[in-house]
Parts: sequence; structure tokens; C-alpha cells
Amino acid sequence: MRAEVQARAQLSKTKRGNAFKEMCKGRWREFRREPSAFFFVMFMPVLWMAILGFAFSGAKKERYGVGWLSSAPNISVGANAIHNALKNNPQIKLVEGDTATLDLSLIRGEILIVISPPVNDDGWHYKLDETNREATRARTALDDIVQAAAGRQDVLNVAEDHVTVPGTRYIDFLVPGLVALSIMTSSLFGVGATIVVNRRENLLKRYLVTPMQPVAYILSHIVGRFFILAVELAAILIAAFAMFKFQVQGNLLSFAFVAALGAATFTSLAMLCGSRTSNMAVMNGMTNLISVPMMIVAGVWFARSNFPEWIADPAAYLPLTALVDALRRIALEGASLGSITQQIMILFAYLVVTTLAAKRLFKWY
Amino acid sequence: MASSALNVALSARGLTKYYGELKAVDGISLTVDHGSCVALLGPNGAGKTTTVEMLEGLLPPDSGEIEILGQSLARDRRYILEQIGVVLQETTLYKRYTVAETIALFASFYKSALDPHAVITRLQLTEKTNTQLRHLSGGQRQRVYLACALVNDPRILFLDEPTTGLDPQARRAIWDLVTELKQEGRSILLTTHYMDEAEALADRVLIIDHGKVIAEGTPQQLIRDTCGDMVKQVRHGTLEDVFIKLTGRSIRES
Repeated sequence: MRAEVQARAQLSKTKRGNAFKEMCKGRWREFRREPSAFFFVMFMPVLWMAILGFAFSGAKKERYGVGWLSSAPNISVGANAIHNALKNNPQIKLVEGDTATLDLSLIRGEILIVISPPVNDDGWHYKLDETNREATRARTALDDIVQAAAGRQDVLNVAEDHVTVPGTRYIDFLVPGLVALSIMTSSLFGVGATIVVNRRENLLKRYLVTPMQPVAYILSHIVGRFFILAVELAAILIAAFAMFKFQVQGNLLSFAFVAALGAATFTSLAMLCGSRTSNMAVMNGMTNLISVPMMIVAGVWFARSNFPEWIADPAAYLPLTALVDALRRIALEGASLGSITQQIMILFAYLVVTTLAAKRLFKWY
Repeated sequence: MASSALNVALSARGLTKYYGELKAVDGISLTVDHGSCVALLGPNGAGKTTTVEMLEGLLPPDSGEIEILGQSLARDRRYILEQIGVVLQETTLYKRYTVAETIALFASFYKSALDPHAVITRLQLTEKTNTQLRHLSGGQRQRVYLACALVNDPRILFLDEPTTGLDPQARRAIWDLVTELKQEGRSILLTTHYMDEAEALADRVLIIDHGKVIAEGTPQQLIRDTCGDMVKQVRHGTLEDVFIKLTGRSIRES
């Protein structure tokens, strides 16, 4: 009873709006204390950047696996010269074997193209998969070497200028893509998963029997997302500068604004995905269904123009594409916000639609 | 009637709830007087949880009325939520929050709340103030949940299976606390599967089955009325005997 008297004596008035502040503090706390969240947000994008950046930097040329069909019995002098030229060319990795061995290597992707020297004067022969872009590049390189070794002379003398200024390297192209990718995955897998777990564990239901305004919970996730965004942006940009001297050519604030708009859009999309289910498997399936195709067609890793138009054109209207394009234009071309209104409008449209849908569908338990 | 209404902390009349075709709650009425503890007992699927969720304002009843502290739940839910404390079944709070952070979070939801540290002291969690919830035992965690329900100094408490899964010591600690809370004039609606718990804590017991109240009274009344013969022959009757006699022996799946 004495404790009760004491407790009542300490009855203190707290102000409204406090709940929202406490919730936001909580979001930051969760992020800081969850080692896996920290890892995925901070290290995954940096790791990708390091691996891809170093793999594709430097003047290393592409190297092609070529199969040499060695079943031909009496090989001509000319063919021998070509064989030597291929063997000594650093761009070619020559594998010799009979038809069966080489076909198997072709299937396994160890070689891209098979070259057969003429048997009984029927001419040279290439065998490749025409739909494989790398194989067609291999054919061009191979044919060039074969023709030169057979005595073809170049008609023109061409000089080359090699571009190395910052802003045009592969890493410069990659970093804004990784920023966008990281924003998407940490929103979908972070916010969405938290809501689903909170629902499954009856926490959302527990909140409903308090006077806390449910909107405080939702808003805290958006604000919490911005905290995390600040951390992930800083991690990626600092690491990119330290490793590759990467710099955003345009306004850094514009870059941060677009990143924040992207984070809000994907947080809203995550809430829509997590609006009803309390099953993590369903949630993971749904987020993968959304994120994996976008990851492929949005042009994170390489330019979207590599895809046929019927994919590339509609893909421009995906939220990840809009985010990648906008960030890349600011980072690489120094574009102002005014010149990327299309991307901003696309992101904004997704934000509004997903927010309204999530609000309509959201189930607390 | 007017004088009795003054004594009533919670009253529900004619509550019904359908899930599709199934009538989960079929005209349940109940009252909880100020400073008393009423226990709801019933097998799995009897309609207990649905009833409690309607009383807590989580589910709207299809028909019937609920008044809490003289206010209609349908109209004044927000006012009522400031005055009640709830322990739900199978809730998990943030595992990586400390005890103090968890209670401070819940305190922030109310217009007026107790100092979190006073609540921590009261629930004998002082030593664990800065321990994260994931490092607590089941009994300690349950006391944190109770602390969250007490932080607004509530006049009515809804305790849904508050001691399920706890060891005997932890259960007794919670019983002692609930007894104290009752002595302070708080009203308690308790749901439990443990008959000894209902016997120890409840002033009145309602046994619910198939969405209806099938028996009501003090634990002693129910034992005497239902198992009178058996008691004389064999041993002291318990509420468990009453329960089994009224609801049968077949096992219910949840």
C-alpha cells in the first residue's frame, strides 16, 4: 500500500505528441540494436560496390573462352598459324577437344564459341549461340584475330582516346544504382517485416487498447526510415569516395531529397505489402515478387537500354527505375530537380497510391 | 437500481457476435462491481476471448451494449482507453527494449501516467530496469506486461490468462499483486484456464460455453450448487470439478 501511495504521489502529466516521439526513438533503438539490420543496411551495399567496382575497374579487357575442334586429322600450315595466334592472344582462352567435349563446355558456359579448322577444304566454321550477347562479342574478337592471322591488313589507322574522368566510369554508374537498391530493400525488408512481426506477436493489438493514435505508429516507421536512410546514404557515399573517389556531380541536397522521396515511396509500398498478413513467408514472397523483377529491369547493374524496348520502355514507370534514373542524372550529369520532374512525379504517384491503399487495407490484428 | 449502478465499473448487456454463420457470442450479459474481480472461465472456443475483445473495444459487438465507468464504449472509447489497463494473451513486446524503455513507451500513450520508475519498483523489477526484455525470465516478462497495463493508474484491468506458462512462484507473485490491486479499489476482469487461480482471486465466476453464460456465482456457491453430492462423498470440491461437470470432458481444440 505504501508503494501505491508513493506511486500516486509521483503521478505526472505527460503531454500529447509524446507517444510519437517515444515511438520514433524506439525505431532508431531497434535499428541500432539489431545487428543484422545494421549489417544489411551498412555493409551489403558497400560490399557490392567494392566487389563490382574493383572487378570492373582497371584496363582489363574481356576474356573469351574459345573451343578449338582438334579432331581434324591433317591440319594445314595456315590453320597452324591461326591456332598459334589464338593461343598467344591474351583475350582468348583456348580450349582444345573433340566435338563431344566442346559441346559440353559450351553447355556449361566454359566456352562461348567453337572454331573448327577446315576439313577437306570446306572452310572455317564457328559455332555459337546467337542470342547470347557475350558469345557474339566473342565472335567479333575471335574473327578479328583469325582474319589478321590469315593475312588481312587494316585499311584505316584509328587512334583511341581513353576516358578516365570521374563521372564516366562503371563505378560512377553503379553507385547511384546501389543507393536506390539499398533504399528499396531496406524499406521492403525492414519496415514491412517489422510490421508483420508486430502484428503476429499481438503488439499492434496491444497498442489498440491504449489511447495512442495509431497514426503515430505508422508515422514513426516513416521517420525511422529517414534515420536509417541518412545512415545508409552516408555509408555508401563515404565508402564510394574513399575507395573510388566517387563524387556526386549535382547538388547533394537534391540527391538527398530524391533519396528521401524514394525511401518514403518504398516504405509506403512495404506497408501495403504488410497491411494484412501476419505470416512472414507470405510477406517475404510478396516482397521478393516485387523487388526481384525490378532489380533486374530497373538498370541497377547495367543500362536499361540493353533490354529490348518492350521491356525497357514500360520499366521506366517502375518506382525503382524512376529512383535509379533520378539519382543517376543528379550524380552523373549534375541534373537539377527541375529537369527530372518525370521521375519525381512517378515516385510521388506511387507514394500517394500506395499510402491510400495501405490505409484502406491495413489490419491491426 | 440507481444505487447499484453507482457500484458498477463495467456492465455489458446482451452481447452477440457472429463470425459468418457461427454465433461465437450469444447474448452474454455481465457486470463487474467496483473493487471486485470477476473471472471468465470456459473451454477453448467457448467465446471467452471474443467477449473480452468486445469489452476492450477491439471488436464491435453485432448487438448489445457495453458501459464502462458510466460511459458507453461505443461513444467514448477514447476516454475509456485512458482508464483501463490490459494484459493480452501471447503478446510479445520489443525484445531489444529495456524494462525502463518499454514502460516509458507505454507511459507516453496516456494523458496522465505514473512515473515509470515507480511502476518498476512496485513490480519488483528494479534490478532489471536496464535489462533488455529478451534477457528476462517468463515471470519477469509477465511482470513487465503488467507494468505496462498499470502505468496509467487504471481503474479497470483486463487480465487475459496472466499466469499461463509461469512457474508456481511467479504465479503466486502475480496473484499477490492482483489481490493488492483489488484492495486498492481497482476492478478486474480475469480470463483464465486455471481453476485455482479463479478460486483464489475472483469474487464472482462466470462459466461460458457455446457463447452463453451457463453458470454464475461466487466460487463457493458454484461448488456447493453443482458438486454438492460429490463433495460430501469424496473430498473438498474444487472449481475444477464444477467446470468439468458443466462443460463435459471432451477435449476442445483452440
